[in-house]
Amino acid sequence: MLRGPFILWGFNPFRSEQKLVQCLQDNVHFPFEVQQPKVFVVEYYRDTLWKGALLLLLSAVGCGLYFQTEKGDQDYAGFFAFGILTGLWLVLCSASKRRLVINHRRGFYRLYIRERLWHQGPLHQIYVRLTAQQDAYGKSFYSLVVSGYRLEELVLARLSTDYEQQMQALGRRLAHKLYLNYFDCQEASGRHVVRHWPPPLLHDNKACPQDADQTDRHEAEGLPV
Amino acid sequence: MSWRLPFATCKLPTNVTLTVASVLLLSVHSGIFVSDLYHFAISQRFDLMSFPSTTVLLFSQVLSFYLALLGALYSTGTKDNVLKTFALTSLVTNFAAFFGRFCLEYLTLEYRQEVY
Repeated sequence: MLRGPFILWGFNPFRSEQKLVQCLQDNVHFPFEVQQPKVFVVEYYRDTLWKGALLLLLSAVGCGLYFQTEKGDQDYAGFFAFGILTGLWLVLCSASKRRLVINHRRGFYRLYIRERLWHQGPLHQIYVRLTAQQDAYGKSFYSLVVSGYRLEELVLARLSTDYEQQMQALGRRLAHKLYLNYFDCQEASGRHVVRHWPPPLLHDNKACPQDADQTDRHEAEGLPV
Repeated sequence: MSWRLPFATCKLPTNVTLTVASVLLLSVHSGIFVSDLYHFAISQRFDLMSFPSTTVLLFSQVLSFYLALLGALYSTGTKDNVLKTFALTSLVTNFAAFFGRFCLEYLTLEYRQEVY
């Protein structure tokens, strides 16, 4: 069982929804922690970190072995160069710790990468979503993700077949606990739960609050919000 | 958002990453292509052409075209016209590079040494 920032790395190809149920029994806001009331925080490393490291290692070992062996007509060393470069890029990209903060008091979410603010957005742009993929026989597999505008997908359970009993109930329950929007796998569905609506599109700038930046600044300067 | 932020956090948007990767691969491919053309047409030293790495080259050119295609597809959703133009240019140039490579391989078919 992985803990701390590696909590989303647990890869379970069979019955991943059972594992999510167990995790939700320990922590109803899984994978988020409650920092203050109505403020949810998760710290994580992306799972491309271990995948990139594995690719890098395999390519380096394969490259070493390839140069030991006798060469034929074609030179395949370029493939190992590709593997090493891709692995390096993946490790570089995902080596820094991410922190996602959902703040219901101020009404925004923030993604920090290496303690730098990468994106801040209003709460209607972050959601819990059930995604469906079909295999060649038309059988559907469902994944539960937390995602949003300019965010990375946090995959909580992947490729489960149990839609009716488990997945949609888990998704709705998690969205209820985190108080986020929930979207079903179908585009038009009675199961969508929209808790945060986008502001109405008006030409008047006052009716359309840009984001919480302005609110913060006004608070810091002691101006009326 | 500061322009330094993507470099400090080492995170770029997906479309930018894909387009830049395809452009980098394209520059490598055009270098190899120019060198091949030179050795084929001017110096006529066919042993210096890139015959031993044809498999890797074709794989890499297809990969580059695929990355450019993905980058262009992702960029269509954005409102950034510069990025769209850049991505589409990369796509078209990658296709041209692949076409040129294909023609060159076809022309140089008789100069290859095949060992089975």
